Amino acid sequence: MSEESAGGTVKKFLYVNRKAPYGTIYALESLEVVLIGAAFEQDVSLAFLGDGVYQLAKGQDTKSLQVKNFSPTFGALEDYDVTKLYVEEEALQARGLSAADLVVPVEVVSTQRMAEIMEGQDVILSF
Amino acid sequence: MMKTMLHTVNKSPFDNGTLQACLNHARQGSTVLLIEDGVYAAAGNTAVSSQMQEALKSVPIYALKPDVEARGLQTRVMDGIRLVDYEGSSISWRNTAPCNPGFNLEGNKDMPIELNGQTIETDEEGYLANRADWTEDVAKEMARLDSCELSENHWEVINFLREYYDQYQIAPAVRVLTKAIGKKLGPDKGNSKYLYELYPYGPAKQACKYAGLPKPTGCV
Repeated sequence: MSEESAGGTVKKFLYVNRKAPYGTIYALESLEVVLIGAAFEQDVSLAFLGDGVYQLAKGQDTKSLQVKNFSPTFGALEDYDVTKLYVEEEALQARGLSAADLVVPVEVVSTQRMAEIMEGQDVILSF
Repeated sequence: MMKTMLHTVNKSPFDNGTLQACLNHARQGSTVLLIEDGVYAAAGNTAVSSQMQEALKSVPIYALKPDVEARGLQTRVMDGIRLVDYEGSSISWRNTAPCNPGFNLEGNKDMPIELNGQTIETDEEGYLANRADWTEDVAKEMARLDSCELSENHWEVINFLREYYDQYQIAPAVRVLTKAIGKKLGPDKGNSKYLYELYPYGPAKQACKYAGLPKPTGCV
């Protein structure tokens, strides 16, 4: 799956996001790891399953909670050459959401397709 | 070729949907390993055991023996689930080399900035403790303490960083900064030579400091 490039071996990394954004630290930590990892110029994809889709929901406002609203940061991923964002269709549907309710453009995929995407990776980091 | 994937489950199946999520994505050729509280799913005669039996038809399921023993489940593990010890679970983590700090901006390290009779808190590396304390004068004072005078060109980068932060809530890594500056201000400025001449301690790190932002995400 991996291929050689001028800068060394490029591997396919998938970050799997399964948690809602503010109840635990997982979502924010995952995003930080993605941004830090981008310096290594690997082939990065992000998957959002289950409650992970809540991370991308529009309209988040954390002022009263006094924590950082990191949903705008997903908009910077393109600058980091992270452009493959996969969202599980069943997870959106179960939560009454659609792609139009998300802060960035994503590819909505079935659970079946998501499993195939996972199989095509070299490294999977699950949060 | 069928790819082998190891799925780990570390949460109780009765408290959390991790097991369900795992079984939804585990396909033939995959392996499931139950660890920590995930081993509760290995016990027979539970609300999830029929689901586990169903899953066992297509994927092998293992449970980590020390975790099973710690929870007193040794005699309750259902048929078909195999126990493994730490040696049996060959999960390896490759360590990545840490970012070289190379950090040398110490003008106001370990001391607050005194400006116009006010004391402005900074962190142990000299970055503003509270972003709201930033003013242009604070930026100039920080630069002065680092023996750096801010020109129009310096301000261009500082203002760019502040706008980027307002929009995305992060300070960009240097590679991203260089590219984005190029897009906005043209190729003469969107290159590392130009930016390092302005900010010899590293354009992202040094300019972020004067911009009152945290150190860029991407360097630890």
